Amino acid sequence: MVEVVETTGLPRLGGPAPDFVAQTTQGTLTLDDFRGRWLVLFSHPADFTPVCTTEFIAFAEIYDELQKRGVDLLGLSIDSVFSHIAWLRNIEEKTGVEIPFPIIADLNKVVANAYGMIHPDQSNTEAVRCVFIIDPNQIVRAMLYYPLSTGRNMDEIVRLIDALQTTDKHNVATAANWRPGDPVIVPPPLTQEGAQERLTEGYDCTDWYLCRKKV
Amino acid sequence: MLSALEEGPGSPEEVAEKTGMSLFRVRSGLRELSYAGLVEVTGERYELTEKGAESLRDAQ
Repeated sequence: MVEVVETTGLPRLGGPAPDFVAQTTQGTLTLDDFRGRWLVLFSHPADFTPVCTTEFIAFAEIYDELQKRGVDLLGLSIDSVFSHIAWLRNIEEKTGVEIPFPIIADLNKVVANAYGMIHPDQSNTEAVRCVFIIDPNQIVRAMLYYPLSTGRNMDEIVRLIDALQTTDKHNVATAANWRPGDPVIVPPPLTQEGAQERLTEGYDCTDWYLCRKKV
Repeated sequence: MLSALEEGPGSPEEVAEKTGMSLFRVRSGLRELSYAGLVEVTGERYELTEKGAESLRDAQ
């Protein structure tokens, strides 16, 4: 007997972001429209729900910080554009917060499926809370997947972007809990000779494979 | 966006700079204007068509 197991395909870190053509609250947008800038593509389960509303307010609060970093925001849920428009108007009326970024109305789940946003053990009809950090070359650089119950942390999303942009600018890695201004990690040597030389190169080293520097 | 092309062809980046709009909105908007026959694109540069120039005159 053949057993069919349904799996959720996910984009791969370091791989191209899946292309899309999508109806949004700011017109029809494609992935290519965002080429040349960083993009935070995120999903939420449903409009007019409590945790999602707090997240939208929180995303709006980091919008200016993201713009300073050359990062655009794009939301998605499996709702109609009419629902999105009504919800954004409701958020502004009830909280005074204007949501400045577009939201994909993915009723046919095409984008949600391409990005692995539907996890049937959470819901068959709603996306889970995903975040995709996509770089200017449209490569997926980081992914977060959170459950329906738990709102995301904006500080971590901004920190993650700072870390990735620092990595790209200086060809370095960033340690656990790294914040801008902290020392960064020098790429480890890949040869025995390199390991031998590393400790004489002036870095702050715990050992040959773990060295830090300021940038 | 049509006004931004009044003086001559431009790239989406140039139109974004002139209008202050996000680059993604400009790319999306120019695409829609192209479908409507108001602009035409050669490579990465957009310019007003006659219909686009007429629409702009009517709007001003």
